[in-house]
Amino acid sequence: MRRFVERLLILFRLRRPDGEMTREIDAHLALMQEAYEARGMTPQEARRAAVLGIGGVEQTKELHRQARSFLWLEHARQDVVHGLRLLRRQPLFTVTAAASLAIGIGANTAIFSVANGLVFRPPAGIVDPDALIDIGAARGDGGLNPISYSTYLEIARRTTSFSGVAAQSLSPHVMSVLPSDTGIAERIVGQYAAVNFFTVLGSHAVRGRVFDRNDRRAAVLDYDYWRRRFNRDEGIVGRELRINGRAFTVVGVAEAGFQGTGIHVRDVWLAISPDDGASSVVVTGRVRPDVTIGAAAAEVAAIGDVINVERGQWQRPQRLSALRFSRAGGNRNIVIGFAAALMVLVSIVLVAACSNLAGILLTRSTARAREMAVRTALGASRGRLVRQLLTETVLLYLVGGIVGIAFARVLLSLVTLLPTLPTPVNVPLVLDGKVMVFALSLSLCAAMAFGVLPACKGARGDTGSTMKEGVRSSSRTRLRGAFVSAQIALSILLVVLAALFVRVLRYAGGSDAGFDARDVEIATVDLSMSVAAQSAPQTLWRNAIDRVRALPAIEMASLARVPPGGLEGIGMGGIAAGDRPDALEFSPGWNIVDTGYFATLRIPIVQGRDFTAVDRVGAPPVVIVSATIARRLWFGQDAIGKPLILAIFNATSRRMERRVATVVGIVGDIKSSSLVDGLAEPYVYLPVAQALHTGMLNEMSIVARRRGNSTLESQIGPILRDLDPALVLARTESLSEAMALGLAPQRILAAVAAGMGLVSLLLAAMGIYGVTAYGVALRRREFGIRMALGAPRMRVISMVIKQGMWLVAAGAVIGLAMAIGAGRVLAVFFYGLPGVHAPTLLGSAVLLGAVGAAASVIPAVHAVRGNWQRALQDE
Amino acid sequence: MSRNDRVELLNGTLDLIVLRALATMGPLHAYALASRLEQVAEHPLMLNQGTLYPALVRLEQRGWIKGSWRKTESNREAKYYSITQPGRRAVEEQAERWRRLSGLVNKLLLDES
Repeated sequence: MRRFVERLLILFRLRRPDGEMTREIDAHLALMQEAYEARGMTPQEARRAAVLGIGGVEQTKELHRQARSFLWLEHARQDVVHGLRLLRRQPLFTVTAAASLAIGIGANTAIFSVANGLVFRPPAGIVDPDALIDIGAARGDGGLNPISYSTYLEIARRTTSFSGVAAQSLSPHVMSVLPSDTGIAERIVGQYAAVNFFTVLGSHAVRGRVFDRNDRRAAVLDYDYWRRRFNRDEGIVGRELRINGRAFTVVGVAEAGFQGTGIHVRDVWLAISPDDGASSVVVTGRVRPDVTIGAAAAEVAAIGDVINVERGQWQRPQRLSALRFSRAGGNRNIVIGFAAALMVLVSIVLVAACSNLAGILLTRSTARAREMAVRTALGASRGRLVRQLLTETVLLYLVGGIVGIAFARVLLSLVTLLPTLPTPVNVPLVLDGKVMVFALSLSLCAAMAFGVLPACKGARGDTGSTMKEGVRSSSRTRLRGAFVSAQIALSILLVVLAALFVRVLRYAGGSDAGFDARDVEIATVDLSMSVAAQSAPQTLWRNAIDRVRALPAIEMASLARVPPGGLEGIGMGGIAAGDRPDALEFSPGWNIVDTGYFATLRIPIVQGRDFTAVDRVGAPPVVIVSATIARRLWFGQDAIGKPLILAIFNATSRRMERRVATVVGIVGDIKSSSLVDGLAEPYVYLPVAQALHTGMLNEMSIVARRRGNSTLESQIGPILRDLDPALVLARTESLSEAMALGLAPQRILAAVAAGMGLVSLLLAAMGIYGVTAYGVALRRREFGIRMALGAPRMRVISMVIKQGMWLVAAGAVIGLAMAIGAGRVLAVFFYGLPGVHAPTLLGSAVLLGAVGAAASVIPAVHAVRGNWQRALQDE
Repeated sequence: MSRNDRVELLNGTLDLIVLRALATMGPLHAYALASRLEQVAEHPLMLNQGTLYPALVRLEQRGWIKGSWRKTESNREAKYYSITQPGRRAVEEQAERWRRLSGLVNKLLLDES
């Protein structure tokens, strides 16, 4: 142990025994010399004999050092020092190499830290998050859907594996709070949570208490909201707040930073009262210490089966399932999958950067062959040289990794550019230990994967010939060419992928969505904020839309249950042709709209008419369908005037029922919502005036086409307040923004692929330039001879370019093959995307060809411009 | 690997010889040790005297010997090594081990012939 410590101390030069060692060896020599002199040698002879006898002074010192310290560590230290010196001496090389690595490593790190924030880092203020699991209804994609409150109660009642099962509403909602002091409704974000929510998570209150079992109409304030709105008022506990028209008592203030289980931020937590049975909830359970996570998950599934059996045919059966707890909740697997897809994408550029660097290192090692040969001649073993070269490479990659971490910070700040969700979210994207370890081990792995081959090649070399005449290693040149071709292939792959994602975007959300989103604003109003307004929604909507239409800033306005292009169209039930007894039912997308909706969005009315004031309650029920439905149900016939059976849920009688409505209009198809598939969804439109029975009029959006650039929030807000003081706008956004949200994943993919494609193009250009320039340098003499013999300059130039283009061609073939494969895979996930899109492939190949030609022109011109006579004399 | 084994074996032998010399003859400097070794050995210049140093360093790091600067009889500075208490115990252990090992090897060699 002591020996170990001493060796370490010596290694880090904390001890300097070299001086003492020298003194000791000098003394030894002196004594020996003395002895030899005593035998009658001259002082010179004695000295020489002494040095011989000891076996060489420096050799002895080296033996001494080797015994003293960890030899390999000492060598590593030397290599590191040497490597750092080399990096410092070639700043241009170091900066470009580190920068190209940093882009790949940084992009990977940024994505990892997002995944880390969403999946691996537990939210603040939760005790022992490893014992928690998310519970929900199994979804086809491996995720979880929220379950009904009654199912939640069943699980909580039956379970034996959990010490507690907590529930919260699906997501926070914008609510209105009516403070007693001002009397003007304010917009807050609130979320319902079961009364055991805080205790199951293990979170405490900083003032007052968290919910307890008997709480009804209780509220726990978010710490930040308490600070912001109430200025840390100590008297807040016990105060009454009117939220959404009902009185809630503040029982406490949550811990600072407590954010629940997900990514959302809210101002207030409200206790779910037992009569809120209908709403769906997100469920999290705390597994008892003596039960494994797997066993608990199995129990959840079993309880689900029991519930299905007991409920019989009353409800559609659902399979209950559990996932490891994370901020991403039921979407954990989707987040991981998406992050993995992005990482694959940015790893392509990392691999391209590594290939580029490996190529440069190979060239450099060729240039350093003389150095290596000298060192071999002086007795360095090949392994030692490989280790030295590898150390230099690892250093370079680590510098790249460190710069990459800095770059990741920059990338993460771009997250703010993403479209915002309806309510605020907060995911702390910190570069914590896990992220650092990730970035540095990624750098190390890349260094090993791409550094070993050049290092081995670099350390090899026929000592004698190299020292005499410099280098002409064709195997290295070939390897270098292979690296450049690999880069070209990866660049093509990235460019094609970028083009494909842009196509997905264009196809899905682009020019022909079937409606015109420009200048359209959406203001969403939630009537659950006011008890009075809820009792007569149609009256309120009538009054509101009339007054909005009268605003001078508005060209046209209407109401819609769901604006197009945002989240899914509502599913309400099936439809069937009413004039054919054998008609099959199918489920379209539904919407409830007011008159003028189609005109406002510029959706063409193909045939028939829009809803009018005539279509009131009591008047014959009418319906408008999209062209797809008309075609599907009455192909080749006139759909206008035909009866349509609507099998939908009646919220008043709480039963499914069949109504018949007359088709009065056929409108153009619009592309659906998530836009991923980009398919025109069949749509059925009901008039607001006849839709009270659906029970869906509580939340509607005012859809308004504005004149000029005025924002509508400041104008519509007062109208609502005037109609009912408890109403505030749940949110306002432009329709394009709302659509952007639905397309965010594709947009991110396209942006990342495009950015990475650009970087890899640059790298490919660098690679081609490098290899061509090097080739020119090697063939200087040959070119000199050719030109001396009268070869035209253009011919030499074309020879050089041709050499570069061969590499491009080889890379292009591989890249196109990979791109076609990747396209096939993507076509499975994104509907409407052709697996093989010839123009894209061809375009990418041409682009790379152009870049390759441009990059090899400069060295080619260089080849003929130099003084070739001098080149000949040089050798 | 094989080269390492060889070095390790030689080192172990040298360590024991050095320890033994210091135990019987008291404090010695490196040159005196080397001379003593040459006296004992039949082929005096088989060994570079420099190869003694790794053994000295190793033994010192293990705490079996201690070095201190003193004057020689000819009034020169030299580093004298002396054996420590743990060193003496080690000599016994090492010598015993060596005796067993060499006994075994001898026996094997005899049996073979």
